[in-house]
Amino acid sequence: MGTGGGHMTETGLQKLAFALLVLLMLYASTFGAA
Amino acid sequence: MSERFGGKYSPQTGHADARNSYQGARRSRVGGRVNFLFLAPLPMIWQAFTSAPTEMFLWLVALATLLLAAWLTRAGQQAHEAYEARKVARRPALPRKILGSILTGAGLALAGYTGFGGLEAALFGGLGLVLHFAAFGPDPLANKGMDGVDQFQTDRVARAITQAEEHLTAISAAAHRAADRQVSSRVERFQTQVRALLRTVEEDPRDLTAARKFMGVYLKGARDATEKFADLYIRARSTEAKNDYLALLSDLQDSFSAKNRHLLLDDRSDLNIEIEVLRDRLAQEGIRLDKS
Repeated sequence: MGTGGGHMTETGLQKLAFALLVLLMLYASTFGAA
Repeated sequence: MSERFGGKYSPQTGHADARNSYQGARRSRVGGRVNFLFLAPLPMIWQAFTSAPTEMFLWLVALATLLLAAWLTRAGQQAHEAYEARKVARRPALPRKILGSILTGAGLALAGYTGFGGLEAALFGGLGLVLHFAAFGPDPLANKGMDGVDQFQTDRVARAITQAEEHLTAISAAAHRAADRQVSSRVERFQTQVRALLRTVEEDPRDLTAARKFMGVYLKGARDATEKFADLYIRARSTEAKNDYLALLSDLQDSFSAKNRHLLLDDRSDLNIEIEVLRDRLAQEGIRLDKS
């Protein structure tokens, strides 16, 4: 995230973290022995 | 409002070279991505209603926590973007993105506990917290561009600008009521000019005293005139009234533009002083500036 002027830019790392987060949520909410 | 035509060769649209209202507009980066955070935990509904009551309750609490986290994240991103767009900004009162990270961790931990067990709860929670923080980062935690600026003064400016924006919204609404393409586009251009003045004042709070009359009295007058004109025009469609109103807008716009130029001139002389001081300083210390 750019701290300088202008607006937020996102790095590849942030995108990866986001994708992993969504996958983790799907995993945690779909699997699991009820 | 949709516009059927416009531009240089279309009738009644006025000056094609005038600055349009999209000047300096930027696409918001708070886009669809965050919405996935609302969707991803939804399978928990199915989980909840296929399990025993206590687990159902825990699943639903986990779901609610994650949805709240997603909502906070989106709000936090919007606030962060607004923060970055301004030159002078205060930090958000509530660090929403950080709270979103914590709540995401908590929600995932609860889901892990309900669906798997204690160890998994810790794993999910920790992972969720770290990933969310890596993806969205912290909120801006410091005020920006506020050092040396009087708090009282900035608050005054913020209040005056909010009020001016309210007048502008009222003007838009009234002009829209008149349902005339020419009036709408004229009003839009007037507003662009007013907003330019507002930005100038926002960047240099010292200008508030000089611009106060413009932001208050004149703008209020413009609002009242627009409302009266709209009422009249709806009933009578009088061309004369329209021309008078458009002439008034032109005059106002000219004076706003002149005021803005004048205020910017002050900023310019500030810059000149800075340059002069630095030049003198350099000359004193024996560093010669190549004037060629």
